Formats: sequence, C-alpha cells, structure tokens
Amino acid sequence: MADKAWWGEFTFSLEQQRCWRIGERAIILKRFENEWNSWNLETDTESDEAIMVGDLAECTAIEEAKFGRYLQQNTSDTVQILPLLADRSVVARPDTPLTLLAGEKSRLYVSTPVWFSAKLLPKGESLLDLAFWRPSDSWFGPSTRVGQICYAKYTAARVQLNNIEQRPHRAITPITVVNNHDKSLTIERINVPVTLLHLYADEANQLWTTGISVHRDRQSDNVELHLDKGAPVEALSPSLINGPRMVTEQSILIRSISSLFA
Amino acid sequence: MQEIIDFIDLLKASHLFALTQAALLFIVGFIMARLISSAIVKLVKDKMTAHGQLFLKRSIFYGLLVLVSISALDNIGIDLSILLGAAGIFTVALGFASQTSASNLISGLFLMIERPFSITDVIKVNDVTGEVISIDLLSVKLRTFDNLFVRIPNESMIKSAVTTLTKYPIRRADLKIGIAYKEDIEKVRDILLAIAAKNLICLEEPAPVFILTGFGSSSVDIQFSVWSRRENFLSLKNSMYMEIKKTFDQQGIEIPFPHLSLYAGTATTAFPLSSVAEKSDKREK
Repeated sequence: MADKAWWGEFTFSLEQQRCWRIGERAIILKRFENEWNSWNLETDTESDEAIMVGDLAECTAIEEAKFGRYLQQNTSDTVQILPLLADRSVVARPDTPLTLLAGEKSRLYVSTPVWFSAKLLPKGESLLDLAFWRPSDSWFGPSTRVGQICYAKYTAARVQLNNIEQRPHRAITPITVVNNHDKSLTIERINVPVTLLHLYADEANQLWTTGISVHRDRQSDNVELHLDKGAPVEALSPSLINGPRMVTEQSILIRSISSLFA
Repeated sequence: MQEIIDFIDLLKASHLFALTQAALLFIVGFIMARLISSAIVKLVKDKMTAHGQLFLKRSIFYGLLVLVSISALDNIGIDLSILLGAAGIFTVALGFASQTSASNLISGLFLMIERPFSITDVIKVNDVTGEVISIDLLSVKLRTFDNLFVRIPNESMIKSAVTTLTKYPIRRADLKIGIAYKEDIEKVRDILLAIAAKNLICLEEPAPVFILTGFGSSSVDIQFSVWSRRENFLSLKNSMYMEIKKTFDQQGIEIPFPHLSLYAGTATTAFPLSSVAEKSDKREK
C-alpha cells in the first residue's frame, strides 16, 4: 500500500526537478524559465513497490528515457499531478470462467492500471498523460467486425476483498453482478467501462473507482449497467481524486450481454 | 413595276424559285449559326477550358446548320424519309460504339447505390492497391502507395472482386515460420504464444492462432496468426518477425535453409564425406 500520496499540487522553483519512481520506472519533470522538460523511463515488467516522489539523485539511466520539451512564455510554478484511469475500457479476464448461479448476486473486485497525468496550474494545460505500465491492446465485441478496441488484463477477478492485491499503480473497481434470470450466467471476461468512472482514494491512499452494478433481468438478454454514486463502501474515508475521462449524463446504460460479458 | 411582278410570277412557276429560296435560307442560316455559336461561347468563356469552348462552338454550329439544311431541302421538295432512315442507322452505329461508356455509366450508378467503399478507403482491384481519391461517373481514381495515379473503369469494378482493406478496424497477420525437424513443436508453440502475449500491439482477443500447416520439404511449416488494429498492421508484422528471430536465436531453435540429400544412384547409400586437413579425400563405392 502507498502510505504517502504521490499526487497533488507541487511547486517547482526554476531548475528544480522531481522524480516519481516505482522501482526502475521513473517519470521526471524539470522546470526552466521558458520550458518544461520531462523524462519518461519505461520498464517491461511491472513492479509492486510504492510510488516515491523525490529529487533526481535516485534516478539513473536518464539517457534511455523518452525526452519531452514543453514551451511556455513564462512557465508557471505549480504542477498538478493526478492519477487518471485508462483511456479505453479494460477487459478483465479471470483465469477460470466464473459461473454465477441463477438468482444469485456477487461482488467482484477488478484492478485496472492507472495513468500519470501532469497539468500546469492555473490554466490547466496538460503536460503528460502516461500509463505506468501500458496494458496490451485487445478487442471486445461479438465479432471481428463489430466491437471496440480496449485494453486486456488477465486477472483473477477476486471475490474476497482481502485477496485482492493493493498496488499503488492500480485502481480497484468493485462490480456487483446480479443474476435475476433462471439460468446461471457464465462470466469469461468482463468489460469494465473505466472511462466513465470517478477515481477515489481511501485513507491508506489506495485508489478506488466508483462501483458498477450489472443487473441481468428475468426475461431479456440485456443487462443494465448502473454506475454507483460516490465512492465504494470498501474505501475507508474516501476522497475524490479525479473525474471520469468521458462524462456521461446517464447513470444507467442498457447494453446487451455480449457487450459486457462474453 | 408590272414587269417585276411578271418576272416573279415567271420564277414562281419554275423550280428555280424554290431552289433560290432554299439557297437563300441556307446562306442566312449559315451566317446565323456562326453568329449564335460565337455569342454563346463568349457567354461561357470563363467557365470552360479552351477544349470545351471549341467543342461547344462546333457542336452548336453544326447542329444549327443541320437544322437549316433539312428545312432548305424540305423546301425544294426532296422527300426526307430517306434522311430519317440514314439517321436511324447512324444511331445504331453510335449505340454500338458507346457500349462500354454506357456500361461504365450504369456500373457507376450501381456502385454509388451499393457503396462498397468511399473516398479515403484503400482498395485492391485485380493487382492494383491504392487509396481512393475520387469516385466519378465512368471510373474510380486511385493513388497507389508508390504515389502513382491509376484510373480504373467502373465496369471492371462491377465485374471483378474489389477488396476494401480499410473496412474493419482490426486485421490479422499470418506469419509463416519454418522450424527444423529436430525441434520440439510444443516448445515452439509456447514460445510463440509468449512472444504474442508480450507484444503490446498484438491483440489479446481474438487470441493468436497456431497452425501447423504441414511437413515441408526442408522444414516443419507453421502459420502463426496474430491480430492487431488495422493501423498497426505493418509494425505488428515487423515487430513479431524480429522478436521471433531473436527469441529463436536465444533458445537455439533452428530456422532451416532448404535441404538437399545427395545419392549416387538408386541402389547406393549417400556418399560419406569427411573433411580432414592432412589426409587426402577417400572415395568409397
């Protein structure tokens, strides 16, 4: 668990630089008088260490990093660093298919990767929008002609809360599945519409998203997707960190089974 | 005065009057046609190319001239049904000549209704692949990837198979790999699936497909099909092939060259050859 929040507003004096690190993965920002420089040092394998904010001294191998220059007439001194959820839906696929028996309901926990975003205050110009570890592309849909591009993650969609690993670079989404049908529902993969969810942090600075609940009715093959309001109950003393990437007015979306489960 | 009237009466009686009338009509008509065609071309001077202007002027002039000639001939008293017959034959000949153009026109109409592709799609017709830059009445214009301009008549598009490469958002790349006979096929399969899983632009779903196409003459032939977004197709192929070669080299899996076995004849076994520095070559029969 991350003990200290790595997000918030950070003030930079001229020539000051700061480094956000998880293990070998590092994102560095440095302020000059007329430009901002950023270094993005990526790694192949995910690390479960805590995200640490510090000065440059701890970061090595800066030559291999991707370099960015952002020009401004007079650079502002405050940067707002916030976590963001993924820019596409994330498809979570349990190791073995789950079967929800008829007339039952269950609460699953799925974790999705988090993006690092840097914005300049006061105007809110976006400097960076990087994934800590970009998940693999995937396709979710009833056929190869109809569907959407999303991210895929092989996971064990946990049913017990204490089983889920709490990692600082992932946000946990609780999903309530209600099966009112008289046949059991087999869940092989779950399309989590992450672009519509709010992001919260609990008292241990673990990231949570708004919960979603999926209702399958008795008669139809359609499912209703409800976006819960507010933080999930599992998040203790939650605080709102960020809004969704795509704002939707509806809180209830009707989808067919094939667009959420398969 | 009386003499002029007598003269005109005399002329009326003879055919000469009709002939003179016709000649006068023709001359006046000729001048009128010239004037009208020039006037009309002056009106549309800015809107047409030089070629178009000339074409318009000529067609108006000759059109009017034909009309004037017909009425002049009618005046003389020649039977016009012969001309009608000639015009009929002329129309049939014209119909035969414009067969392909008419066919292209109608094919174009049907293509517009059916809409298998639109502008900026990439299509492949017969052997030509290119991006559609315009869909016209008679033809479709393509820009090939080496920046050449190709005009394809609509008729050949209706008749042959047209492949629209940019219709669907994802595309499958079929990678052809050959491994030596001595390799463990299951192990190669696991390696290939691991490479596909690690590649970020290779889609997880639809899952990559491992197909053993057969036992080739020099190698075991495998087809490994992976999916990606249409835009990433080329970079997926490149990155997968490079990664496969690198991993095979690391794991010591051989991609064989074509093999040839030498025999002396039908009854003998293969020549044993040994390459030794000091000894001379030994020959065995």
